[in-house]
Amino acid sequence: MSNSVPAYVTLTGPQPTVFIVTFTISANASAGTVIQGNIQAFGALMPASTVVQVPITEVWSIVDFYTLSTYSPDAQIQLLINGYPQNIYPTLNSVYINNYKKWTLHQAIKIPPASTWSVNIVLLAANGSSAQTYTLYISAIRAPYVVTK
Amino acid sequence: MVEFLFTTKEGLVGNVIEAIGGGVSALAGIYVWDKLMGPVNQFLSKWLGNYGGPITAFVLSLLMLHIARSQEGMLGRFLQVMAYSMFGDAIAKSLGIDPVMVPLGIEVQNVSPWSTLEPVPLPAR
Repeated sequence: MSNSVPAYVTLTGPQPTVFIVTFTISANASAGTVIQGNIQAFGALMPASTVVQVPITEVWSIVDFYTLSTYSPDAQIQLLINGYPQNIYPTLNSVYINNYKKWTLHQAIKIPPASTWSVNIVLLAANGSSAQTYTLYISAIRAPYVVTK
Repeated sequence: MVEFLFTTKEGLVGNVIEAIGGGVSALAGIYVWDKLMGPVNQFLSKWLGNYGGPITAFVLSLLMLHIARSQEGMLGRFLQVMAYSMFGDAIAKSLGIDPVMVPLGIEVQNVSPWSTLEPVPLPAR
């Protein structure tokens, strides 16, 4: 078959995904420094950005935050949706995946269609003499938004 | 021409027009039942329990059929089909079967909780 028309590809059902957020901590950064995360939301082929906008046709549900290693100094995670800090403040080490008492969400955080969101961390102590990068993983479900009455 | 289309009962054109008209009035009936009669139904359900819906719908359908009988032509047909579909919709609802009315955006069934803004509880780890 030739001349086939390329299909428009869109999300047709709930799809689990992981957003990778990196934070660059400069050398000797003092306690209380706020560092904005660089979010890889749309896969490795798309550039990471500090602010991500949910497509207007979708709703995203964050179900977990985790790290694959512990970090020092520890830092508090802040999630902002449409510029509003959400009412959760886990620390990076409390969401460490092998932590026996890992911080968990009791219900999914919904990010409504067309909303923008970002993640930043606040250092809880001063950084050492070398710069380092922290990586935070956010598990989420992307789903097509359906209006219900 | 219009008169011919709506009054003729013979032939393909008449049947197609009648089918379309029936469909439109059925949708209208379900819509009316859903949106306008919903509060009436809720109010009566307090006394009639789960049978409130079908009983109200039956009474209203009878009333509408009575009006429909006295109306000739298009309006009569329209009211008649509306009455039947109101009753059918109420029966379906009382049996727990909700018609999917996606084109009108009235009713959407079996939506994944991930697709709405309703809270989704997560299992404890």
